[in-house]
Amino acid sequence: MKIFKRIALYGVLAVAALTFIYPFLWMAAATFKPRAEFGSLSLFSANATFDNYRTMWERAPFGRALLNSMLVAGTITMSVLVFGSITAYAMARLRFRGSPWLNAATMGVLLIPGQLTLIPMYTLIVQVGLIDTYAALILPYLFNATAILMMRQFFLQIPQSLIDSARMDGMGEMRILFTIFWPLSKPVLSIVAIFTFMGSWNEVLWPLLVVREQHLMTLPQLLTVFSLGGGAGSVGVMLAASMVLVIPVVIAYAILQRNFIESMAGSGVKG
Amino acid sequence: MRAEQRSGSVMAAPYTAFLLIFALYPILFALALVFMKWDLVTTPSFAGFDNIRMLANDGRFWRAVANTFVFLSIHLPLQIATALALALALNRPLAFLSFWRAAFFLPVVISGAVVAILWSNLYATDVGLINGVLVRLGWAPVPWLTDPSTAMPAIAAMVTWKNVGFYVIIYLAGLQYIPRSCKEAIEIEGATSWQRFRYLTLPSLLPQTILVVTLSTINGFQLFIEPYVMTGGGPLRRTYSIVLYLYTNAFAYQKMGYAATIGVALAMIIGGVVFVQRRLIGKAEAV
Amino acid sequence: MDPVPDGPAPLAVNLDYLRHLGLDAAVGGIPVRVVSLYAEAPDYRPVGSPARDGYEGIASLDDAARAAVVYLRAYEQTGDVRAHDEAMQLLAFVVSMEQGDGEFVNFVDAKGKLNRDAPSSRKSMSYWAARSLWALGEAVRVLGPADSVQLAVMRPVLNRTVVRLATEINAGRLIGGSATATSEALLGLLALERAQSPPGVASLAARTASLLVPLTSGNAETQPWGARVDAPATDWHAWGTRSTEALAIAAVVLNRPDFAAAAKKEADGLWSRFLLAGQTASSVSPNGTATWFPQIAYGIGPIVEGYLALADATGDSRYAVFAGLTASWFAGANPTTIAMYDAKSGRTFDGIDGPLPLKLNRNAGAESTIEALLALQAVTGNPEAARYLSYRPVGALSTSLSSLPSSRGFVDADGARIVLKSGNAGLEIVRGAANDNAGVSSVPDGKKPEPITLTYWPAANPPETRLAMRLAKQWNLENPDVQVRVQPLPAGRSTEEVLLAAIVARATPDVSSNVSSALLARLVRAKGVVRLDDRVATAARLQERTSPAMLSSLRLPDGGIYAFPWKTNPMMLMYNVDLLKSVGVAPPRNHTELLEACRRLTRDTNGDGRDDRWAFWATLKTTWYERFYDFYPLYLASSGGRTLITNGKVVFENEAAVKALDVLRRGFESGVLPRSNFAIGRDPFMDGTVAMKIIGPWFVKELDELKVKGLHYDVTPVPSADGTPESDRFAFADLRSIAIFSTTRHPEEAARFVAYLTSPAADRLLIEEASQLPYRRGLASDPRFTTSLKKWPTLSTYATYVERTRDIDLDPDVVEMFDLLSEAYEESAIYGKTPVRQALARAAGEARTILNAR
Repeated sequence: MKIFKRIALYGVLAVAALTFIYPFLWMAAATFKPRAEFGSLSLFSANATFDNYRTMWERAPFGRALLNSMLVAGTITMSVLVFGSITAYAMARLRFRGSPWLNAATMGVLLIPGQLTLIPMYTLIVQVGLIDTYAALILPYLFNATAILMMRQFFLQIPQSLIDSARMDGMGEMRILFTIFWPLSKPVLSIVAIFTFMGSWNEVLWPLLVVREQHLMTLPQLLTVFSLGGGAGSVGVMLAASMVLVIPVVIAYAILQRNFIESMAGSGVKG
Repeated sequence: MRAEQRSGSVMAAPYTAFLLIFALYPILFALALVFMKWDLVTTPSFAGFDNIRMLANDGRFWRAVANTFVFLSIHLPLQIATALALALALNRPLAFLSFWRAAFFLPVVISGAVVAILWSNLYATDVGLINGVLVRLGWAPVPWLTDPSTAMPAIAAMVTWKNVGFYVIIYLAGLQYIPRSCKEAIEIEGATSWQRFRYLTLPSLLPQTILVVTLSTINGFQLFIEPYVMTGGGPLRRTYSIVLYLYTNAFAYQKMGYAATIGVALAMIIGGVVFVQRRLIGKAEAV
Repeated sequence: MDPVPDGPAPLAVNLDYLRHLGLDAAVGGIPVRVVSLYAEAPDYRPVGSPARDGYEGIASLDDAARAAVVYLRAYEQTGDVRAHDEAMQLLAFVVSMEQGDGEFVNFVDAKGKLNRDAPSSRKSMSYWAARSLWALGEAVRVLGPADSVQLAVMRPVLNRTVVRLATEINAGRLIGGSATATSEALLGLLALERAQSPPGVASLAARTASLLVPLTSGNAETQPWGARVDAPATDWHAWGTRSTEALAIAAVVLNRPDFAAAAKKEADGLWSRFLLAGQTASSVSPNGTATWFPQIAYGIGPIVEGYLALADATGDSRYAVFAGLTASWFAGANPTTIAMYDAKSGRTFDGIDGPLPLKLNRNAGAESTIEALLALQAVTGNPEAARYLSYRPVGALSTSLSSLPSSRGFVDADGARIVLKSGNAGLEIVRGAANDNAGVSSVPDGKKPEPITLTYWPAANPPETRLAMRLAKQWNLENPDVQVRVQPLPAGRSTEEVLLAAIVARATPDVSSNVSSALLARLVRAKGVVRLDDRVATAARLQERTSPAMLSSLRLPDGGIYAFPWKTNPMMLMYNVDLLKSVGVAPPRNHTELLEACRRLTRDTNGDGRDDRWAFWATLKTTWYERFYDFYPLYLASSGGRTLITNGKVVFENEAAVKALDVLRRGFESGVLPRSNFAIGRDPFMDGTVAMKIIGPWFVKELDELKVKGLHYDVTPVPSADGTPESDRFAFADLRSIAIFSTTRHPEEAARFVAYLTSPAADRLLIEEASQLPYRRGLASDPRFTTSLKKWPTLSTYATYVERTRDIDLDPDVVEMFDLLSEAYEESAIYGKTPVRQALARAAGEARTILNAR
């Protein structure tokens, strides 16, 4: 009976996983297909080719752009984790004037669609003379409302007793955050990290607006500007470009994912 | 108390400054535009309540609102149910655990535009994967994206597919906070697994559920890239989302004032819906 | 945005004075128009031949024929109907002077009596016959099929003249014993060949040109430096030295590079010496002794035109610069420093005599006026040449062609300068050289001014970005003082956001070839773009490239052109030849045939009970620009030139639109148009799932790149509603323009760069690299592009439609109009929810509300 249940579980998981992986495999396979075969269903092509990758590389040699992307996404992720958790901690666990206001404002930021704030944001960057700088790519993303909201929600679950005893030991709030909350919050920090990194990594529109110099371009931007084009023929190149983009995120995920489920033993959260 | 007050203000100061610069300015800008007529090229002119009046009588806008609710009514339950089910399935000792978790997360990391293209091809009437399977099973192919009745559900299913991995992780993280002693206690009392889920797991996951509902509601209301790439808002405007309408007004018609009005209305609608949701889910937020 | 002050207008070609010289006459009872020979200062009353010439007559064919050429070209360039009428009446005179055997009489008197006695007038195949042939050939070229009725009268005369000419040429005789007359006859033959290529004309033209080649005497080093003379050991005369022009044009039209090489000899040798000397001689003896006076328009004009023809034939833009510098004689770069041509009146003084005393002849006769106008028409149509009209030579003019300085500087009133230096490959041009008085180039190090930088945002797709980068690189090499930086825009949906954000923040580039019609309409209203038809370089290019009719729909309410119409993708119906043949249908010409083809081609090929092959597929997507491939071209194919909006009024609620929607509705309803979508990235036309599609020429390159095997395709005009007259058919242009934003600090340089991007050489690259078509008049028959067009299948057919197109309206709300029509299309045609007329009426109603609200 138990074995039967287990087999059923694995069976269901396998089918579910397949529906998630197959499109991805199909996309990977499509990048190796000649353009005329692009519409076909199969994962394999008798005429497999590297043409899409070659075209992409010829049009947009992306060595420098890879470094730019790493720098930008790395800085933003660090900032969102460090500064974001400081903010989230204050919002979740400290009573201070303006706290409710800040909470509401954070929600408010999420409610306004980005399509609307794009132009004012851009004029702001132009007015302060940051066009064609790394700062233009990084500054508007130093904080992230979704991340703060998530961290705040998780920080709310950590028992007050831990804070009280730490304060009793004379710990400052920053120390409490980094020595007690951080280790307990690895799951949420990991989610925030992967989600921030991914968002910044895949962002195209903002870099397109604020950077016009090739040596400052991020990877997706460079690929968008140089590799893609109108017409049916470019879809293969586009998928090849997104394969190139996906790989670093998958690696980052592989590194961080073991934090999603921490063993209770080390966490110190005891009921 | 004083110390807490002070450190709170100090710790929140950078974020406050950030909000003032990068959020308040654009939001005030957008609010001002509600009362303006502006084509992005010439100087804006004052329009009073014209935009608001126009919005109130704009059938296309309300059609988009209705479409978005259709989308949410499919997407939200589906999203929560699948995320929760997968999280519970993955929150146990399993062979190849990393593989399973990675599998469900894959769609999250691919950009929305690429996913939209991918699914256009899966949904394609002619050689799409889904119709391929249907035909092999002896059914007639379904014009998923070109039939007015199936287009929006098809998009909702796809968005669920794309985002579920993210919410699975949130739930998985939340599951770690359920104290093991509670689990053990309730197991000893001989509760059925349904009871365990209903009376222990679900209440313990309330913060995560609130988060998932809030985030997927906000995301759902901001549905854009999928209809933009896959259907252009058709067929018969059935997949025309609010943000697609906003985008079209802003960048295709260059009616920035009207676009801002749509944006502000959208923010108010989302705010209202999220507020009601939180009320309904419970008052568990108070700590 | 602040308006930018207008740049200097190019030297306007003014026909007023030439018209003033015109007289009505009657020859053999037929009313004609002639040009009086002379007019004397100060009142410039038209008079005839004076006593000293034996009263030859009041007017001559010599002048009338060339005046006709001036008027024909003016009509071609400006569409001026008065020019057309003048030309027709002058041509009537030409016809009336023909004597039935291809020979002509030259003079008439005031009573219309022919002068058959004077040696300069008697019936012959000489100068005046050659010029008549030139005028008639130009008439065929310019008026072409449009004026067939009037051309019919001239045709027999033209034919007889060609036959008569052939007897001279076949006997190896120059016409009138003169290189000039022979060259002018050749120009007529070449015009004829270009327009219609009648049998035998090409070979006759080649033989005529071959007679001119051996007239060259000396070479670049030895006297008389490559001059072409009528007979060995005779003097070379500047007047009428048209052999260079004729040979260069022959090289292009007849595709004979050897004629271009021959044409260069006189220009590279003798004319280069004139430039170094700082003045043009009136005659040169076999041993190289130059006579400098009298200087007359007839001696300057042919050199200018010769240089320009060479620039065209060789692609070497230096010749255009030389043309401009030579033509500056008209604008005052002459020993008197007085402008010989007055743009206000259109009058050209008869000449300068000298050297001592230096005397300006202020009379203004027909020949001076005509020759000046011919030269200026050519110069103002060439951006590179027009720019140098205002330059003056620096330093003392040389009076010997044997001992010359090795370089010569030229400056304009603003201090801009160039230096011509004799080098190994002919004269070299040094631009932006530092100031020095001797006119000798010397670039002191460290004092070189910083080059101007222009940013250029090309259209957002890889072939065009590559083309832009290539052209910019070439430009940067040629223009060290103006460097262009190419910043490609992303393809796809981000393009519009990037451009709009840049406009809002005033961070626009100097030049962009990516401005949509709707945005352009707004930009113009806001004075956000620079007017282009009153700047020297762009005005010249517009004149060279387009006809007035091609520009009329692009003019904004103030009459200005604000975006340079660069390229077009006229939509046609592309079809799979084998599929159509397999079911025995011809390419459909009207709606009935289209539906019939659909019915016959729709088929279930694999027998699973579902159709899997169709004639045509209209996408179900409602994004506005998808209508470029179904409804809109179908509508334009029968709308008689009507578009969606005209002067702020909705004009699409009409039968053509109803029929276009209805044919689609019938297709969907009967199931012959699939109500389904296909995978992105798969083109059902390429794999034979669909037999036809409406598409522009850019797709030809795509087909080539995809290397589809066994696809045999051709194109045909988009089917029109049944019974639509041919004259009501238009193709959708899908025109793309280049704009200069008024945020630029260098409008003049930007205009020059735009002219560079639209030059014949750049246009050839556009065709060859991107399989797209420049918006150019006579493209399909222009010999300069024949080879390029042949590079791609069907492109020559597409090229014939460049001028029969309509684009989307230059209206700020045009996108919304398309969206409304898209909705009407979806509701009525695809899903059949609303009757066609009702859906269209509703769209029109909403459109009116939008237009009224602004």
